[in-house]
Amino acid sequence: METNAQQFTTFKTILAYSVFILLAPITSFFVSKYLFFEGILGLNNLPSNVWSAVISIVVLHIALGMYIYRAYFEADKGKPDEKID
Amino acid sequence: MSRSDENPIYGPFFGVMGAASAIIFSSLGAAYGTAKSGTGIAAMSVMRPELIMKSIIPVVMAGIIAIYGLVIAVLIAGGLKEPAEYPLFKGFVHLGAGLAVGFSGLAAGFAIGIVGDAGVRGTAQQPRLFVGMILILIFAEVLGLYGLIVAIYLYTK
Repeated sequence: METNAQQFTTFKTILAYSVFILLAPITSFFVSKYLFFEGILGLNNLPSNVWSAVISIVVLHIALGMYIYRAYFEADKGKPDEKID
Repeated sequence: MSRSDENPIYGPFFGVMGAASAIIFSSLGAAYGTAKSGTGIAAMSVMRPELIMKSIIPVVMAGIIAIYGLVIAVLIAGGLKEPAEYPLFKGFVHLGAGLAVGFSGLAAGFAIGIVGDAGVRGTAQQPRLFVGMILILIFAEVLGLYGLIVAIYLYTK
């Protein structure tokens, strides 16, 4: 069985990644729309909407890839600690 | 107010229905995917609780389907205007964009749910199944992405 500390570490990791995956596309959509495409490049409403949507989807997939990478390579790193006692 | 055959009073109705169907059907698929793979995770975690982090992946992927619908719904809602400035053609295009991402998301969510349920149960017994489960989940996820691409392309018309 996992100890409480290990459970808490897993919970913290999953919570951090969940918050990141949920917030990253939304913030990247609005930041890239209002600050980058409309502020710096001065694009119209339609192209700035479309390009910020594309950017938010790309950011979303990067976040998903990071989660899968973490789950695949580091999920059971805490296991050997069980038998040290 | 200039109402003509091109700018009827009911023109924005189609756009509103497009925005609504984009988020409704995507969320329906995402909810089915989350619930179906969630039952699998709950059944699997009783015996193998250390696999939780790996088996959450179908739930995350189902959540992403809903974000596809959210993006298109926000785009369409941002393009809605008064009937005088909103031709009927634009309403049809927005309805098509919403239905494209909505039903693709519904299909992808169903696929993710069924694959996630069977996949996490199988991974608990044979860990080498994990890579296969991820690949199948990615191909299921891409179905929703195709709908998103078509919807964005329609939206720019």
